Amino acid sequence: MGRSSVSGDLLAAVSMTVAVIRTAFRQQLAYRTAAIGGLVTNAVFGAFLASVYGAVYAARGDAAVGGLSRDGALTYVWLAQALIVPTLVWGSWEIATSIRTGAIVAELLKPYAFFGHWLARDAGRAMAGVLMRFVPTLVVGFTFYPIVVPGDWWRWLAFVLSVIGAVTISFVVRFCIQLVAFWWNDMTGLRSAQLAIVGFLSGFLMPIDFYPVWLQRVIDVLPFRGIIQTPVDVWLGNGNTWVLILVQVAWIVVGVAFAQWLFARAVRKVVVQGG
Amino acid sequence: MADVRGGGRLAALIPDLAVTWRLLMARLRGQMQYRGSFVSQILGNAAIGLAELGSILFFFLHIDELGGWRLGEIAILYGIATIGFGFGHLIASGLSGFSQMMVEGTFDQMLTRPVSPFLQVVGSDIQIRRLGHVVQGIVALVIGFSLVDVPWDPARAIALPAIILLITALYISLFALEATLSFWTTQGIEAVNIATYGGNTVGTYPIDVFADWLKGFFLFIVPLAFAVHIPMAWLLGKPTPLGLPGWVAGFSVPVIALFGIAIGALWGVGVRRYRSAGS
Repeated sequence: MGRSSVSGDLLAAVSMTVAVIRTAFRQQLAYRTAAIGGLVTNAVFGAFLASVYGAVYAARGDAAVGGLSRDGALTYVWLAQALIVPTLVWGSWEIATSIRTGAIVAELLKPYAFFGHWLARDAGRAMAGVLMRFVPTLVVGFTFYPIVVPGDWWRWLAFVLSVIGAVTISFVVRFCIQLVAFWWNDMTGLRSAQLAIVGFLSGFLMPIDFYPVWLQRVIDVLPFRGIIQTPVDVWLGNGNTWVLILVQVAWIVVGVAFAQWLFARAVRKVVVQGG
Repeated sequence: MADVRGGGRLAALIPDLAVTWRLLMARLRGQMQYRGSFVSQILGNAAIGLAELGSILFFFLHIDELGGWRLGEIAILYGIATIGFGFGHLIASGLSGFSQMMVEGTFDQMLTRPVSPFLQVVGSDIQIRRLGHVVQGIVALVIGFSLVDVPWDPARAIALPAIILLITALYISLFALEATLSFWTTQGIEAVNIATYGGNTVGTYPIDVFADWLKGFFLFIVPLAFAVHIPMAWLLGKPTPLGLPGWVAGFSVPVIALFGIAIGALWGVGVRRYRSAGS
C-alpha cells in the first residue's frame, strides 16, 4: 500500500470497520416484514410469560423472590424478549457455515483480522436489532404492563453500556462455539447444546433470582449471565451497577483473548473440502 | 387435476399410507447411518428439555401451587403436553419443510404421482431428533407420577394414551396449517409459531393463569385447551379449567377432529388453486 505512518493505517482500519458496521446494519433493515412477524411473536410470548409470572407472584401474595419484585419480574420478561435478537440467544451459525462450505478460505486470504471483522458485522446487526426489535418489543410491554423504568439519567447510560457488553459477550460465546466446526462437521447437536447452556445460564429461561442459591453462586462466576441477567439487573438497579459492568468488561477481555487463541489453533486445522 | 385413482378416496388411502410409511422408514434408516450425529442431536435436545423442565420446577421453590396445580400435577401436564407435541412435530417434519418445497418447485413433482400429495409431503422428511421432546416428557411423567396419587380406573387408563393422540393430532393439524398458508404466502408464516411453539408453552402451564384473550384464543381459535388442559384436569380429578362444566371434556375429541377436518379442507383449497411457479 505504501502508506507508512501508523496513524494512516489506524485510520484505514477504523474507516473499514465503520463501513462493515454500516453495511451489516443496512442488510438487516431490508428484512422489515420479517421483523414485524418476529415482533408479534416476541410480544405474544411476552404476554404468555407475563401471565405465568403474574400467577407465580399472586400465589406468593406478591412477595419478592430474591431481589425481584412482581413488577421487576414483569420488566424482566419484556427485557428478555426484547434482548433475544440483539444478543441472538438462539445462536448464529454464519461462521460455522462458511467453515463447512470452505468459503472461509477466501476470507482468511483477505487483509483484515478475522475476529474483528465478524465482531464489526455483529455490531451492525445488533444495532439494527435494537432499532427493529428491542425498542418496539419494549414499547409493547410498556404499553400493557407495569414495567419499571429507570429514574436516573446515569442508569440509562449504564444500561446502554451493559447491552453493549451483553452483545459482545454473546458474540464471543457464539464465535467460539462456531469454531468447533473446524473439528466437527455436524453442528445440529451443538446448536441444541448452545441453546440449553446459554438459555439456562444467562437467565433467559428464568431470572436467576428464582434458582436455588448454590446455583446462583455458580452462575455468578460464569460469563453467561452477562448476556441477559446483567442488563436486567442494571436496568432494575439490583446489585452494584458498576461492579456488574466491570465484570462484563473483565469477561470480554478474557473471552477475546481465548477466542483469538482458539482461532489461531483452529486455522491450523483447516481442511478445504472440494475445490 | 383429475383424480387418477378413480376409486373411493378412503379405499385409496390405505396403499397411500403404506407408501408414506415406507418413505419415512427409508429416511429413518438414512439418518441412523450417521450415529454420532444422531446421538449428539438427541443429547442436545434432551439438554434443552432438562433446562426447560428444570426452570419450571424452580418456580416451586417459591410457591406451592400455580393456578391451582401442584408441582407433581404440573410435571404430569408438562409431560403429556410435551410428548404429544414431540410426536406431532416428529410426524410433521415434512410439513415444516413445505414452504421450501414451494420455493424450490419440488411440490410439482408430487402432483404428478398417483399418491395423495399431502401424504407425500408428510413422507418427505422425518427428523428423528424430535423424539428428544418425547424423552423429556417421559422424564417429567416419572417425576409427576411419583408425586401425585392419580385416581386410576379403566376409563383413565384408556384416556391417557388417547389424550396424547389428541394432542399429537392437534399439532399435526397446526403444522399442516402452517404448510397450507404457503400456498398463499411464503412470508411471515412464522406468526403460526404462536400457535405451535406458543401452544407448546401454554400447554405446559394451567390455562387458568393466562390473560383472558389468551384463554379465548386457545379455547375457541386454536382449541389447545380441549386437547390438553380440559382432559388432563379430568384425568387428575381436578376441577374443570376456566370454571367450565365437567361435561365439556366429552367434547374434546369432536372439537379436535373438526379442527383437523377444517384445516384438511383448507389444504384441499390450496392444492386446487396452486399454480406452479414454473421452472
